[in-house]
Amino acid sequence: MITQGIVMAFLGSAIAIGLACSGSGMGVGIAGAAAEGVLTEEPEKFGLMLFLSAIPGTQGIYGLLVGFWVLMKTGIFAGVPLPLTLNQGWQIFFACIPVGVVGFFSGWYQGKTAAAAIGLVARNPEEVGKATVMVAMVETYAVFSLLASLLLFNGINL
Amino acid sequence: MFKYFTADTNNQEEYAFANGRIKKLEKGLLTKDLLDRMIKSTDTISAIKILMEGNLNNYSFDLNNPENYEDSLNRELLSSYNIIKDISKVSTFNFLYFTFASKYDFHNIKILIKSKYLKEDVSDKLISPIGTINIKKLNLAIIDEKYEDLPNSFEFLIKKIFLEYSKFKDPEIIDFILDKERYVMIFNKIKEVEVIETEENFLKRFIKINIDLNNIISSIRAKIRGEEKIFLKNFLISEGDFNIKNIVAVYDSPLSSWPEKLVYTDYKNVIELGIKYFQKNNSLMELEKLRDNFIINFTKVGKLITFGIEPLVGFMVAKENDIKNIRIILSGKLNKLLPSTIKESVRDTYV
Repeated sequence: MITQGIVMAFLGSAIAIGLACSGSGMGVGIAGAAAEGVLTEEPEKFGLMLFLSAIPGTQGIYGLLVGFWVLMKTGIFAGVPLPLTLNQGWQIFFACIPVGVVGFFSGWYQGKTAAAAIGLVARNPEEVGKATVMVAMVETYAVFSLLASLLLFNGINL
Repeated sequence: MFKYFTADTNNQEEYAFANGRIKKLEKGLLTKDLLDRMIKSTDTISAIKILMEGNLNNYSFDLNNPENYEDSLNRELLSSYNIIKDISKVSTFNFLYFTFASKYDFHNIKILIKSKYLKEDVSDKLISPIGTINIKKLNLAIIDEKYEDLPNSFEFLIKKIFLEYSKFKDPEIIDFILDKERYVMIFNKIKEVEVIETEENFLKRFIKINIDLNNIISSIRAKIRGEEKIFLKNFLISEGDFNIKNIVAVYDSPLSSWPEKLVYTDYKNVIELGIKYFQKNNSLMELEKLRDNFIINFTKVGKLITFGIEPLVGFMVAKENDIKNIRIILSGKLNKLLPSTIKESVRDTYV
């Protein structure tokens, strides 16, 4: 039976996946454009450029993870949705917010950091380690949001 | 928030691509250390070998004919301009190529007009292949006065020079008019495009610095030539930050008193050291060097910025500066100048 609660769970899942993947898309787009700029001049750096421009893609994975977990736990994947109350639906919805919102902004800004790192590596390839650390620092907050979403979701009595 | 979001996101892929490409090319810019080694080298060939070592840049020279270094430098400059032209194809940067390459249009106009009036044949070597307007079109406009296919702004400019020259009959007038009109045209071009506010500030400041320094050097040149104040007023460019009234006010006082009267300006050191050198050596070489150093130091901010117009402007200024430095060193080596003499003329570096 489709209850108002399950509709809210759908919405939460959509936000987690939609926002986080959008942020990643923007981030990978920016970093990818910077990488293409470098590759125009130095095609042999493809491996390094691919690595740096793929890092902002992780937010989308986190969003997808939370979104799918919601869909799984609420029985939507099995085709037997749980009869969730509106209250439970809201709880699921809010549990999805951290990974969605943080994923969107951190993916976008990580893309910018990755583009800056690509610029640094283009000039000094030996600095790839330091450049990656800077990009990974943005990742910390995406991981925190994933953790927050998972803990919040785990606290909901279904 | 929405305004910020759209302004920032609309062009960021274009910026990222352009800046990524430029950051790679920055690796080929010359360092102070490399220039010092070139200056200290024993001859032209050793200097060229130092320049080309490590394959860090794309300069290629014919070591059997080192005296033909100009061809190599022109090739490298043209290739850098082609990169900027390529980057400028996207809407965000379409004013960039014009800002830099129009300098060569004006150079070509200068050469063609002077050859027309002075009845001299123009050597192909004097005409620059860089520029926004095809040289054949310029030739038709200037020599045959046929203006088809020429932008209106350039048609107006050429007709203006014809008119002014017929009044003054002085070839140097052509230089003054062209220098002034170039900056006016660049300003109009920038007004046509949408750039983010902070970048507009950088670009405007960059052009205003060029205008101010151009005004200062033109005034000093006019003073040395013994021109009247009225002449100066006609050819100073008013779009700069430095109020031209200040220059006009000090114009009649002796050159040696100018630094004291213009002490409150950003260009205090340029004026003071430039005039001091001129009085000692009767040459404006130091003034020109100080102007170039002022500009290169201003654009160095481009090294620190990831997304923006600054790295692109910085790269172009740096590349032209590098080529100028190489030209100074190699011509010095060919003329067997002392390293200390060559070093005096070499400009600051970007990296």
